[in-house]
Amino acid sequence: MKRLLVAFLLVVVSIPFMLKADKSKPRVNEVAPVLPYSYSQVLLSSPGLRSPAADLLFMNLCYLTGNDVFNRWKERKFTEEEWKRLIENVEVIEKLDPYYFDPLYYLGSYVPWKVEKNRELLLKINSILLHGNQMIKDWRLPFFVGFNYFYFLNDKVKGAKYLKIASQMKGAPFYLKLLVPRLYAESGKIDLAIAVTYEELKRTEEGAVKKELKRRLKALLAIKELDRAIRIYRNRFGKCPSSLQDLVKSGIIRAIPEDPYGGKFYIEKKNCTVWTTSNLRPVKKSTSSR
Amino acid sequence: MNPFPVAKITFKELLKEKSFIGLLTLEVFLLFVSKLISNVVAGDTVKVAMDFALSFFFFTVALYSVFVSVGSTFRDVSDRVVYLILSKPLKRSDYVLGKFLGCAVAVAIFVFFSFFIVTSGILVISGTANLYVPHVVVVERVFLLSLLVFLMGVFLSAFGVLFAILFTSQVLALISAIFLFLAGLELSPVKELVVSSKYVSPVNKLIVQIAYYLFPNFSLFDVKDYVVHLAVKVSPLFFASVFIYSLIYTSAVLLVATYLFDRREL
Amino acid sequence: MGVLVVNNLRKTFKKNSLLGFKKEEKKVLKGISFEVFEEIFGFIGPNGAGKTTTIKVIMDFVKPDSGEILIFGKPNSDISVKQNLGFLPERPYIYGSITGKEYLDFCADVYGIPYYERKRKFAELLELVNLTGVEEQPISSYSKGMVQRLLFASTLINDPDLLILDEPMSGLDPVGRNIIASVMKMLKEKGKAVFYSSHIIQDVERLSDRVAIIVDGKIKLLDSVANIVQEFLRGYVITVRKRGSSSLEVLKVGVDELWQLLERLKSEGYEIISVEPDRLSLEEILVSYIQENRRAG
Ligand SMILES: Nc1ncnc2c1ncn2[C@@H]1O[C@H](COP(=O)(O)OP(=O)(O)O)[C@@H](O)[C@H]1O
Ligand SMILES: [Mg+2]
Repeated sequence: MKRLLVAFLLVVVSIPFMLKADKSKPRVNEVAPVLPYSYSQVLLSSPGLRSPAADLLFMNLCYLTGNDVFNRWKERKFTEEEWKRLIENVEVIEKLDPYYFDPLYYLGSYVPWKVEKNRELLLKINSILLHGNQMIKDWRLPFFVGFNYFYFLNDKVKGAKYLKIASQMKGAPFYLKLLVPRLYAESGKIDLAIAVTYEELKRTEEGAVKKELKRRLKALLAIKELDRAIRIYRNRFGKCPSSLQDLVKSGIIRAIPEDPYGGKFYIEKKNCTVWTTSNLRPVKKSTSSR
Repeated sequence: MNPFPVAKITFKELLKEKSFIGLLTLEVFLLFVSKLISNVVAGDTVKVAMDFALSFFFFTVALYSVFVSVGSTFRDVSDRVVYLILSKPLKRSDYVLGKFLGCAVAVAIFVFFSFFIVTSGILVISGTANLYVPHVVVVERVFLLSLLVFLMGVFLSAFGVLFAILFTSQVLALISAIFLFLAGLELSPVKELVVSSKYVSPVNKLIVQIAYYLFPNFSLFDVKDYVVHLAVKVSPLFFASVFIYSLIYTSAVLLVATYLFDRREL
Repeated sequence: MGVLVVNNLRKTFKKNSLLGFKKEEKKVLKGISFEVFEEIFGFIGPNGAGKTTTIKVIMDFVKPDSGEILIFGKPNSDISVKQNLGFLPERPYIYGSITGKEYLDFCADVYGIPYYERKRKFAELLELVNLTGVEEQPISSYSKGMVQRLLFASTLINDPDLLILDEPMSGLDPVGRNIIASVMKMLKEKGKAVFYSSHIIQDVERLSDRVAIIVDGKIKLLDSVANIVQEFLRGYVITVRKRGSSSLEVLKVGVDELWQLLERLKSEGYEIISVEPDRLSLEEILVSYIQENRRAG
């Protein structure tokens, strides 16, 4: 008993030394850097543990991103180089565990906003997402790709293409189906937009969507009609009409059609194409969103 | 041929060993660890918990098989139990085979209990997780994984018996068996990396290929992904081939073990 | 022909030092020959003489360099001879986690003893070595002597015609030794052969019909205990008392002069109290062989 007491006292006595030593211990810089991981090294150092290794890498990635988000390292945010490494790490994770969805979700939903100026990285993100989509049949992956093209890369055609793929996948929300033709129409590919709408109309069962698609089709057909009229006008007069009224005046069309969304058609002078003030969205109540 | 008495007493002895209960308890503990780890990660926590729980399961069974087969065979020789057994009308090959069968039955029972522990563990984890998209656990798939893990345990037991006969040091036998297992797990990825690499010379590629063909391939038994990701599909042909592969290879290992034991001075 | 025939056995152990350089050879058996009949045959010698090695070779655990071993007329590598054999190794050990009954069950499994006979058989065997009532306990709870008795009893489960025991007495208390000795005697009465090694000489002298003395891998002496005693008889010690006197006198006499002396004493009016042989004990014989060997080597 006495001995135990003495032992305990000795431990207590040792504490100040430990504290002293701990304070004066040499330390490395506290900032946790984003390390580049190599697929083959991770793979070889974790036999039979591909998935847990992927999990741990993703945990590390979440932790680092959390630091960035909550500004834990006050002075500094991730550099572009570090974002590049993060993106490559997601690629490693997906090689280790090709069915792991969460890292791709992180990559598609969060990272593009951080590298929006860097075209190369955005394309890299898209290629990783598309690769993941080969294994994981989730509509959000092509959706993110489409969104990146559309929003960050300003490539509306490619954006529409991937959104269309997304909209056709299981679990995709119905508004995607409406969004796709509109993107095509906005990019001036009116025929494509009409074709897509037709196709959707054929496949859709749901009443509300069907009604919406019909309205969309009507508007698109009107735009196409007006576009054709403008082409004839240009052939005849060699210049872009200053307004849609000119088309009526010159007798190419009888009247300006009505926008089923309640907007007004007009001529965009820059490309000499037709568009509507409604932007193909109901002017009064809004049911579809961009 | 009469390996059954040895098999029976081996298995009786092994089930009363502390390692049996000890490793099962460890497995329960590791389930909690898996749950804790999964709490750290964002998103599908059940997926992560299952990754870890099933990996722990996989490695615990492997460890158990190696410990049990190497330990039990080695102790028999060093503690002179083998004299008692071989003084009876039993061939040495009966002894080796009996030892192996006893270990295999012990591994079967170990896997059986582990299956219940792991399945109930991950069912509880998935049942209590708060996910927008619930992660479905298919018990049949856990069962199929357990079957493969059992085959792997049997396979490893054969190697354990062989190494216990081959080496004169128990530690050496244990370490070799564990390294063999890890190497057998690495072989597939190594081959994948080497063959697809531009920087590896054709000679080395050939060496790796030959090793890939001849070395026991333990990564075949690792179908954790099939359990975790419901999108992964596996054909019955796979299970049949793995079964036949391990059957044939195990027999080969046992043949070598009996050959060595017949020539061994006790 | 004997139940067990050992003919010119030679065995060398090679000790491979690390890396295989410098092979050390050690000759352990240098031509051992003997034959065991339906009797108790004692195999005695100092530690390291080669008793255990001989027995390992007999049991086919170790292959000899040369020599021949026949058990029941068949070579010892024939597995069928073990059907009729009982063997107890030196310092025997069995798993502590199983119970005594489980071990006996294992033995019964090997010999294919049907289940309905087992209960009676086990009870008989346990009774024989005074272990009744402990069979359901794990062997780890047994004392060392109990384990040895249990394993000794288990060698009798197949009613063997030849029993080979390596140091069955060592590690036992006097009561345990007595139990084993009486069982061995009983087996001999039944016409079985018992071959056993020992370094406890008193027991050997008391128990054996014949003995072989092995020193340094060679048999130095092989004869019946009676003959050995005779051969090493130096004379007799005679205790007498002169009629009418109360004091005893002790006389020593050579083997040939015994009768002569007795006649003379009788005629001189001495009362003969006792006549005892004056001989070397087996132990003394053994010691003398060892010393002789040491001088030679
Ligand atoms: N496996 C072995 N390798 C080398 N030497 C051995 C081996 N077994 C026994 N010996 C040697 O053989 C001699 C005889 O041993 P042993 O037969 O056990 O004697 P004992 O008469 O005491 O039973 C001893 O000197 C021992 O050192
Ligand atoms: Mg000995």
